Amino acid sequence: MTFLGVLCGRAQPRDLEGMLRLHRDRRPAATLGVYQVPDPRRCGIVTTNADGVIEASWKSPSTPAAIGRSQA
Amino acid sequence: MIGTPEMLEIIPPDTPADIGFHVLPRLTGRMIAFPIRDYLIDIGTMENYRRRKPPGPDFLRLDLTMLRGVVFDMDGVIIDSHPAHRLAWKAFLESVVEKPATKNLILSSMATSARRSWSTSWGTGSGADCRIWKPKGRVAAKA
Repeated sequence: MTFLGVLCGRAQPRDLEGMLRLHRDRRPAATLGVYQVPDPRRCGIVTTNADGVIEASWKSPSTPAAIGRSQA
Repeated sequence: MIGTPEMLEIIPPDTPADIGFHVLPRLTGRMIAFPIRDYLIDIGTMENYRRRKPPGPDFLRLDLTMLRGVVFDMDGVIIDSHPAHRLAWKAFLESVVEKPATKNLILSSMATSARRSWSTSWGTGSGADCRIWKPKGRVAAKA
């Protein structure tokens, strides 16, 4: 079973279809759509490695190191 | 976010559980990121919700055969925050109530508890044969 969760966002289907392809190819526990924002302190953020694996996530980031290398 | 049963099973039994605080941090190393490059707006505020663009023709490219269920919010309410929600709810209504589901039927039955909506519109006990998945140790909210 695969399901789509929309967390207070609105993305165009081109993104969703690309996400689904990536998800099916890599088979992770979850695939998160992420985007860069001017002020990540207002968002949940993640950090990834070079392969796109999410290494950490913060709901309300306050750690400058985390913000400096994050995507919301 | 595209999730799997592994993600659902990791939801802690304590309530309330928040996906940002209690679920995603427990999946680090097992999640991947997909950079979104197209239009996206956070509709978590009324100001942004009013600024959102209406769904474009691209939306119709979604493969409706992929729809297998409707996901409700923590209190059993369907939130009309994404066209996919409305499509999934429409497909569900057409499978159990009437086809085609009218726009009025769809909109009037959203943004309220699913069970309350069924009871109000189609009588007590309607939808009783629908399967509701419950994570381990959690109890469904009462309508």
